[in-house]
Amino acid sequence: MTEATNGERTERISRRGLKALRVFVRNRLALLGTVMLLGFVFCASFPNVVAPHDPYDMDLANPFAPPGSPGHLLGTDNFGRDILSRLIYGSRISLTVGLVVVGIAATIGTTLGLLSGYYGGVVDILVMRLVEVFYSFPFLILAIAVMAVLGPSIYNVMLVLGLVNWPIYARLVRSRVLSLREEPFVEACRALGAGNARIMFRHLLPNCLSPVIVTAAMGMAGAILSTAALGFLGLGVQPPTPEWGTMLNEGKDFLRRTPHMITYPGVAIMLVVLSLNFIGDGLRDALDPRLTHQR
Amino acid sequence: MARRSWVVVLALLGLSLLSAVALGARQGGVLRIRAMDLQNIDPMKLLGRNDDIHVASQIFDSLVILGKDDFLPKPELATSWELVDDTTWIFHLREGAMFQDDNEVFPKGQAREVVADDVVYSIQRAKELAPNLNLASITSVRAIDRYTVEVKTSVPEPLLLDVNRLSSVMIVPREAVEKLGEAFATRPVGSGPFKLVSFVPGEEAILKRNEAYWLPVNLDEVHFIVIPDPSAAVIALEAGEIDVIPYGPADEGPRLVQQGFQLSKRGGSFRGLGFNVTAAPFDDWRVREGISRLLDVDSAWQAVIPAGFGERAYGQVPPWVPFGYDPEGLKDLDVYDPEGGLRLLAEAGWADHDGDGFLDKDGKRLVVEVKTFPGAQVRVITILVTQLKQQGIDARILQLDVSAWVDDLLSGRTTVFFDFSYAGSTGLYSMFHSSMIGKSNTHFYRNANVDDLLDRASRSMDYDERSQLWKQAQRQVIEDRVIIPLYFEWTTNYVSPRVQEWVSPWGGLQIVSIENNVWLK
Amino acid sequence: MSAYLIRRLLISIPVVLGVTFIVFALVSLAPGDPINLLLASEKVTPEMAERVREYYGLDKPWYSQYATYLGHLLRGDMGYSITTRTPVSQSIKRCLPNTLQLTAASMIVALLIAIPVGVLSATHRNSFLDYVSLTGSMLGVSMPNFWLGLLLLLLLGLQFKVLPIWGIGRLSRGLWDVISHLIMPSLTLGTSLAGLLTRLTRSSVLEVLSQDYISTARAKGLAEWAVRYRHALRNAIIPVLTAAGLQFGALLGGAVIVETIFAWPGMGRLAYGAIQQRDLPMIQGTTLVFAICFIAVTLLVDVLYVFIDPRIRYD
Repeated sequence: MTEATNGERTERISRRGLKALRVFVRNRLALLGTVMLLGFVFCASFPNVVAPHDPYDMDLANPFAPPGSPGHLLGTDNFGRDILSRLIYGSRISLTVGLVVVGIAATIGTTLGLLSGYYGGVVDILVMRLVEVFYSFPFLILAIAVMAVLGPSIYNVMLVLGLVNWPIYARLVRSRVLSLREEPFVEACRALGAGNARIMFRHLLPNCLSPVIVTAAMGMAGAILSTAALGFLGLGVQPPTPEWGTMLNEGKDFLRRTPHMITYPGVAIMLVVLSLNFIGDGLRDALDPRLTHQR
Repeated sequence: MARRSWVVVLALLGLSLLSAVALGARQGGVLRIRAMDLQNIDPMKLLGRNDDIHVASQIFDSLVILGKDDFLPKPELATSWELVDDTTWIFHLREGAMFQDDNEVFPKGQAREVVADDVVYSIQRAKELAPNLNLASITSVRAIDRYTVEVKTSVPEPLLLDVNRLSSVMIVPREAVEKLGEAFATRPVGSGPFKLVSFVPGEEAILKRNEAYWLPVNLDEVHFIVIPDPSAAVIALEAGEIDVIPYGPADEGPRLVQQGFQLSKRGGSFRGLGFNVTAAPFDDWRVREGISRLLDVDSAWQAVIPAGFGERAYGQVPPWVPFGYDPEGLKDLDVYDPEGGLRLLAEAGWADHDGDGFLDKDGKRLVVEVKTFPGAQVRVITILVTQLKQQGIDARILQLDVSAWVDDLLSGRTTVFFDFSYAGSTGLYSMFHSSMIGKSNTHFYRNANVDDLLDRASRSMDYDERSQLWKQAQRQVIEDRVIIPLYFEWTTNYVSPRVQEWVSPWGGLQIVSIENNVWLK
Repeated sequence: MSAYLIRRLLISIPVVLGVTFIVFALVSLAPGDPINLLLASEKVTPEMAERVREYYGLDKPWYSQYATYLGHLLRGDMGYSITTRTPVSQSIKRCLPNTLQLTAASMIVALLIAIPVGVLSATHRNSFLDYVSLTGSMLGVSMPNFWLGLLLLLLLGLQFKVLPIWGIGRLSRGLWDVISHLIMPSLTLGTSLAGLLTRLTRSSVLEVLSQDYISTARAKGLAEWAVRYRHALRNAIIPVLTAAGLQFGALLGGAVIVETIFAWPGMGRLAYGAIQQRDLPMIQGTTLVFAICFIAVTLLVDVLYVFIDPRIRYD
């Protein structure tokens, strides 16, 4: 009896998964996004294969070479280093930072937001006051303190940024749950004897994901840009290590002389965020059955 | 009829032209100066904030100013001074110098003269309130008569009139300080060439000519405008919305000069790498010297500092401190010799034992972590760190915010650090004398010979003797490889072509003095 | 509802105090000390530094400093800035209106872009317009503020000279003076905010349009525009409003870069400078104000939920 139900359920789930996959693949933009992201991941994994030069190699006699110079497709920076190679090597840290920060923030935020919206009352009050504390708190103070206690490192950057960015997810999810929990289907679930955890994570969560996915995709850009801002606290990625945020920072001083130094890291960040958006949209369509039969 | 009116007009024109010439065609105009920030212009609460000092030095006069070319004291409120003995100074004040009127302390036409009591009060107030000024050795100040002040010091002080000493004490009227209280910080009254019209912290300070100043003042008004971002300030200069950027970014220099802007250089700062000589493994001279020989400093600083904006440093004493500046006497200590450097490091036990491409000893890598704060120097250090990496040293940069950097330096939580100082005539003493450990000797360097040389120099009233002692002390410091001198960076002011007789600030900003009087073309 | 409001306000007091307490503790434990910064400016004798420390009560342990601070605060005294030696309340009184002005203007710019563009790209899904709005949003979030800010300065301030380069306008010089000074900074901030808000509007509208009551409304024969704007937008606005509220809060203190580039005398620069100098009374003062403003904004957003979506209840 139980075996049969289990088998049935697995089959149902896999059928649903297959259908979702089909929807996802049918979405050409989502596919494009996936290919782009895989490209970035490949660069991040095997930079030494892809990059034409050593990202640290300086050629002080040949600084500011324009894009398209022989041997330097995207030109060189103020030290004559190959910008393309630095972008490729930099993708490893930047992608990691972006994904980890958004991962930490979205997980904490979504969970707390679900709890807060579903239970309301004291839980809601406590979680939302925590949001207020985190938001009114000067982020730099937290960063300085973390650096003092835990020491400067890229892991601590991710920790700080993750800790700072969760409130938006909590508030977004909570606002959805506040209206969803009054819907008849929640009543129905409860009547059927579903536990609180099941209602929250199986029924409410999927309905809250759309704003979370949108915010997370955009949050990647914010996280990478923030590493640049933290560099001066000893928390960011320090030169000469190639990293996109640091490259933007280094390019700032040459904005007027050689705009390409700052343009390319900016474009790289944009492409990553773009690909995540494509994937996010595709995912949402695939996971949300209502949207699919709309078309 | 019509013709006659033309004649009248022409005559009037001629007259006004004549009177303009008589008054000096240099009269008039508004000078707009960029500020990074403006906070508080009470002259005893300036704490070394450059822009506030610039504003305050228009409203107030000091006893002396520092000469525009030689940095030697020149008369301002004091017309002359003499040393009675090694520790007693007499200042003779200018007669007829008046505090500004038409304000809440001195109503219009009721100003009073600046007298010796004001000088006494101001020096005492500075001793009490201004911890950034070095007036500790002054034991007594008293008024001998209406125009004569006597200052006594506990030890001979040949440099008593230097920056951050008496030349930085601005003379304030006691009744204004007492009447205005806190408000003296934003509505001060002094005896300088310009009166304050309005002051909005963080935004602007508007000053107008003091008609009763003891020198004729050319400009009608001086505006200090807060534009914190250096790139935005350069755009404002190019757009003609400001006339002067004091302390402009060197990167923009060559382009601005090409566009016809004037470049005014005066003084600057020393930049180098410093060692904490008590922190292992840099407590070993061979390690410090070895690293120094691996560095091609010449190509590093030239790649970052545009030609004409700095000079290679071989020691700490900058060119504008004539009695210690000694490039010829130090050049032989600057050696770029990577092989010799690696040999020295190997002698100290550092070599690539495990074959991973990095030098190590007892299983630990040789880590050179340069602590610095953000700025153009990071670019120079980036090159140096890359050079060290190529020689197999695990070299890194660690940028900190200024507060944390200072804290780490003072408490000795450093090994190698970006070393810089504006310290002119006291630099060697404050950076290398063992009595300054924990304060400004962040190298934790202790050498009895150097201490002795510096002690004798700081008490010597004889210029040549002082010069000799300083040069000896400096050579010893470099031989001991406490620092790796990199370069001196000029303080550069970008000045609109219409501004004449601009003198870059050093300590104070002189717009009207016995040496210059800024006017607009 | 009013009971809820009162409860919220009462709970806010410990939140504000909690924030100031944590800030106080962290700053005291973090490296860096305002007096050391003075020391670094060469040749300050230790006695002098000690005297300054004593003057500001910095020689006492931090918890006792905090107690003193709270005592003063209850009497309405926010203390004196250590670095500028002027009253903290004076600086805040000067900067807060400027910050509110810039924040409000940027939020208006952001919403004026985000809501129409977001709705249009949802209703014209996968059209050319949708892709343009997507690319624009990506540019908005990927372009660092200093970059867009300096480009605007170069173009509108230097090249065409149509807008003032620095500072804040004053009403005494006319309305145009205020607006012209606001345009570039609020565009810079607004476009970077608009990116997220546009995408949220789009996805939210898409979701709402697929829901049953919209089909019902359509079936009832309501005009399409009425369906879209009366029913759909109203329900779709909640996540947008939520995010906008949070961003408003973040902007109060987080606009440092834009305030710096456009020489805007706001709270962000004030707080940032204070943190750099470890100027504790000023850090406390600005944090306090941020906390109060942020709590007010979130409360407002929570109240708006009830008006927009009558299903939401707080009891």
